[in-house]
Amino acid sequence: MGRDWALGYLLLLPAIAVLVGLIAYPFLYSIFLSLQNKPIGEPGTFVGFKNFLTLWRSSVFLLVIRNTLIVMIVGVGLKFLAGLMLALILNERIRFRELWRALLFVPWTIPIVVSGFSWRWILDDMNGVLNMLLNQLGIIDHYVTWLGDPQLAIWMVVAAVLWEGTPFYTMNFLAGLAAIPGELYEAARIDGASSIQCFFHITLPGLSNVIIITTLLSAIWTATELQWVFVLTKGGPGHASETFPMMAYLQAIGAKALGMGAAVALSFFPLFLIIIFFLTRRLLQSEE
Amino acid sequence: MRGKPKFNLVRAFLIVLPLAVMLFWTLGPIYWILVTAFTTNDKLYSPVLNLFPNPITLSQFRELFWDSPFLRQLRNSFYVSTITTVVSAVVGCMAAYAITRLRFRGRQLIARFLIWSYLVPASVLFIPLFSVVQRLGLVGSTNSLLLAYLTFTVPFCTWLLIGYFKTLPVELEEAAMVDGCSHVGALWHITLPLAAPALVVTTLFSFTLSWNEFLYAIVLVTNPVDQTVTAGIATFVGEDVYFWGKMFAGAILMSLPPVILYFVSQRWVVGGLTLGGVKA
Repeated sequence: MGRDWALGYLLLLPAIAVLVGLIAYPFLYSIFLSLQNKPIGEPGTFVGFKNFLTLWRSSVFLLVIRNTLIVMIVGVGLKFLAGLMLALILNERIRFRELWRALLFVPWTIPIVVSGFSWRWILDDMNGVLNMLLNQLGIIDHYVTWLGDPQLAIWMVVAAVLWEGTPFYTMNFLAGLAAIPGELYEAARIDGASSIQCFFHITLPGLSNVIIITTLLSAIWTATELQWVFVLTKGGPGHASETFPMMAYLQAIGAKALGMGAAVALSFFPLFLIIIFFLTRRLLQSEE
Repeated sequence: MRGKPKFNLVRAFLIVLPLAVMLFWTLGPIYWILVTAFTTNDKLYSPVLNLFPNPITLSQFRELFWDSPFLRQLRNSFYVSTITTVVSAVVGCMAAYAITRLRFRGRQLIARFLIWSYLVPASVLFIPLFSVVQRLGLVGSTNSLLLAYLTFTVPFCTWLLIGYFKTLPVELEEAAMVDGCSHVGALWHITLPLAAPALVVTTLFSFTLSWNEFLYAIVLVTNPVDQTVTAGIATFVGEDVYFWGKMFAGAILMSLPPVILYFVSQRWVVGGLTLGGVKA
């Protein structure tokens, strides 16, 4: 058992209680729930895989997969590009660098629900500032229903995701850049390397670990965040911007069908399991 | 890269232009939140665009305090965030010390479970947790959030502290124990004082995580006077046609604690946010 096992487990007891009682047990219980027809406040009846089969055969589910992947892949991709660009800029010697840095980090510090509502207000079709500005500048002649248009809605969610999440990438990339030894660049310069060669042969490889961890973490957080869709569109119009957390919420709390809600959440879990697996390996490696 | 800043066209194109675009994109919505909260309702909903609050008014804040349970919700948020933070800091210190300083079987496995559980998304856990909380008879009570928030603050705090404890020299503790100090004594008298900066960061961030939490807050508590600010602000929609000004007055106030905490702790946390794990 090891030298200090008694004291070790005594100190770990509260943490293990949380892990088992509030995470592992509810997680296993959600598998049990997903096999039941369980309305809130009523006893459930066992239905086997019926929830999953109904769900996977529905056309809404396909749309939800599409929307979740759009938000995750496009959202993460854009945040990565914007974050890397800003980190490279803020790593240069420019005037008022600390001020720019502080200002550019603000979206990340305010609660997501606040930034979600600020976008909803900006994009409001009647009194929203975006429509009014574009109209006054002569770019549009009639107001656009940014959030009510089935083609546009999901992209407005992506825009809000980009706005809030970019600073997280910038911050991590700046820390990564600071850890690359300056001598590498000096040596490369002496050997006649161009800026572009330096970027691809020194900067990017030097950032690789930070890039992988940041992107994987952000992929999980972006795809599983309810607030954007909840605040901006509630999944609408129709199901045009519904993502998986929104669908799970609408089923479990909206329609009071806990079993179906659990089935929705569990159907997406394998995707995150893969990301979690690679991320955990990375994190434990960089700990060593 | 290095050397004096050069002001030429290439530099302007590669640095100044993108920086200006990003500043406009980032600060535009912030500016609009501020404008909205200080503008009168008739200006907000007039068909003419008003880019500045004229006249500047505090009527939105007045309405927020008098006509909504906002202050009560602010108090609930402080209550929930403070308690979860204190509990998870204590639990996290004990667990991190055990994992980094003691020798026993299973500690690597538990460390691994901690990361896994931090990464299991709330959107997967909220349905069974709702069911559990319901069976405990806690649904609707502000206290149910304490349980829910421990699911992310405990793994988060423990993981950050494990990372930090590993960087502290063990020699001091060993010396103390040679002099007759127990493990618990060493943790209390040596490790914790040395870990103070990490402890500050950990508590600030776990406070912010709890303060900003939304999903559990709307699912577990539905009565407005028992809700926290994040859930409370979402209920402004629909109760009044002209809610935007009042809402952003509240949005500004509820953003102040995390924004202030962030700027206070900024110098300690660059890059240390991602589970303490991001090291180049």
